[in-house]
Amino acid sequence: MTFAELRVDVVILCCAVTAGIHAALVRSHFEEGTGPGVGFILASLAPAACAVLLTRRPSRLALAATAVVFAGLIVSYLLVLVSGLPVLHPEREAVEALAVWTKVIEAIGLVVAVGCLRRPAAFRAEEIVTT
Amino acid sequence: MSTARPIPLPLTLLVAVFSALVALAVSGGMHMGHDHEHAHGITVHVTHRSARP
Repeated sequence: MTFAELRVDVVILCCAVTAGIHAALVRSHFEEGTGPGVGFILASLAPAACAVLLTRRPSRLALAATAVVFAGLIVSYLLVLVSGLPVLHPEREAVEALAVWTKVIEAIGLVVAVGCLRRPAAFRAEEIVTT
Repeated sequence: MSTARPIPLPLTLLVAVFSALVALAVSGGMHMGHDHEHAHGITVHVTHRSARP
């Protein structure tokens, strides 16, 4: 296993953690309203899909999509804190430790994914065999 | 060609499930904390029946 492959594994694990946490909170957010509930379903499905994609067909495109998902989740949370997210979470939310930890995981995933993308030589998808 | 593969999907799923369980435990604990705070506002009225001889 190369360092580049290890970094892809880190990105996959970050996807798994954030997907799991968001999935666990879907029910409680549906109690707040349909918008937050649907938002959390999307926030769990998107990183889960990225994890599957990076596992089955690791590529630069998959890494780029994962980076976009992580960035989107972080920006969405910042919007929820500052002004609320239209449709999905119109009301502002107070800062919670679990949410901050989730964003830290997503930030790690984002940084590692972008790092892989910025070093094309370090991540060569054709070297990772998926059967 | 290298034979290395990304982390297996079942292991990824296990990490996701464990994360979900931790999130449930933490968020449940937070709610219980809120309930505990609310409990301070509960007023209990106790009435004593007069003892009859």
